[in-house]
Amino acid sequence: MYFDKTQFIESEAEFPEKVVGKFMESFSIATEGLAELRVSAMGASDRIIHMLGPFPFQFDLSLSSPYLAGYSYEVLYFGYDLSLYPVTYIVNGDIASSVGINTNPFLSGAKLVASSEQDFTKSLEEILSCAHFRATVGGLMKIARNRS
Amino acid sequence: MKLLFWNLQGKKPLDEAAELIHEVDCDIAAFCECSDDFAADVQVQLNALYSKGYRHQETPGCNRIKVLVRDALNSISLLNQHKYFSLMLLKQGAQRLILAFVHMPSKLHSGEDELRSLCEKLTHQISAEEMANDVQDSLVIGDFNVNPFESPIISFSGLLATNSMDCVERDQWTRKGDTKRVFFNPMWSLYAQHLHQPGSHHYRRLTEDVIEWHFLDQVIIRASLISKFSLPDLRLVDSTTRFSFRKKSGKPFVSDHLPISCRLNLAGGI
Repeated sequence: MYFDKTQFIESEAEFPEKVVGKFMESFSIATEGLAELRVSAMGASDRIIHMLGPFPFQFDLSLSSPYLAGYSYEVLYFGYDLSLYPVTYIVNGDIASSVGINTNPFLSGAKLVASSEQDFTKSLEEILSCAHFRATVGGLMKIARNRS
Repeated sequence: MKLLFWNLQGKKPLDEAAELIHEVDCDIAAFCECSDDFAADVQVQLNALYSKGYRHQETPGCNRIKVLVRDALNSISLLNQHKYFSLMLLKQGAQRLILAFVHMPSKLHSGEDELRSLCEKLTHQISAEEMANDVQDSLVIGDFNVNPFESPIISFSGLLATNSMDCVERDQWTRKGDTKRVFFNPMWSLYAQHLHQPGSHHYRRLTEDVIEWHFLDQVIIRASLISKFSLPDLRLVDSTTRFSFRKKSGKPFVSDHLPISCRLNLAGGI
């Protein structure tokens, strides 16, 4: 068999962590720098505990604050394979309930699948604007401002 | 340092809670099934009636637990916050301690395997925070919604909380290549003190089993804290000067859980 350049096309889809990253800058501005969203690659033990699946690329998205060094609040975990999409993600239980999604008690959250970059973006918009997330960020901002 | 925990069952016993905190003279009081407004009211009452200053330590992300901290204790910082637990770091001189306040879901809504899975997450998070903050000592207090002898508390894949003080000599266990630090569960000592009604909560599950009294409210500690933990000061609080928290039958009154308190002898005098 002979391969030529027309047989393989590099994916044009954005990495899911970069899709998440697009929200991070405006979030920091919106919270006056008091709260931040942080994406981190998940280690081996985290992967076992959070039961996302056998994805080679796994990350967590958490809420933190530059003024509260140790504070963290997991928003979601997401993972994908070489095809980038679909991306599988587990949304924090309280946030999932706030969005109106049923949760799985074993996962302390709701496991979802986004088939495309657009679907993932749309779902993130919903997650990051739900009442529970906004209330949590509001509480964090209040404490952080007191420490700033 | 004294700690107090009470599941309020959604009730608002303001005078009782304020007198309880005053008489136990705790440094940290944690409540669950309690609103922010109630915690604020208790704070005001403590100041007004007993001239005691406490602040409400907000825990954004963990709404199930409300924590009041004595004003003098100003070195507490927030760590990971989860729907079912709130982790904090206490620094006092050279002493660094991780405090975890928990309110696990009720067995009415969750199976034992689900609770075990949550306990595994809690253990994992505490271990991660211990490593990140270079801390050896951790204490977990709250409503675990399981007894000290049940799988979520004792199993390797749960909290791995033993009833043996021998864990001082061996505080790590390895199973199938995975190594974990154990917790010591001092609650077992309370079974001997409450022979007839061994528990902080009375509930008769007609179909599940015949256990009626449950120690759902517990304190567990890392083995490294055993020497600092005062076993005689671990107790269910039955009453204060003006209020009884038990009916004549012995069953909890005011709330369907009894308050629990404990003491750590930390360097620096807190």
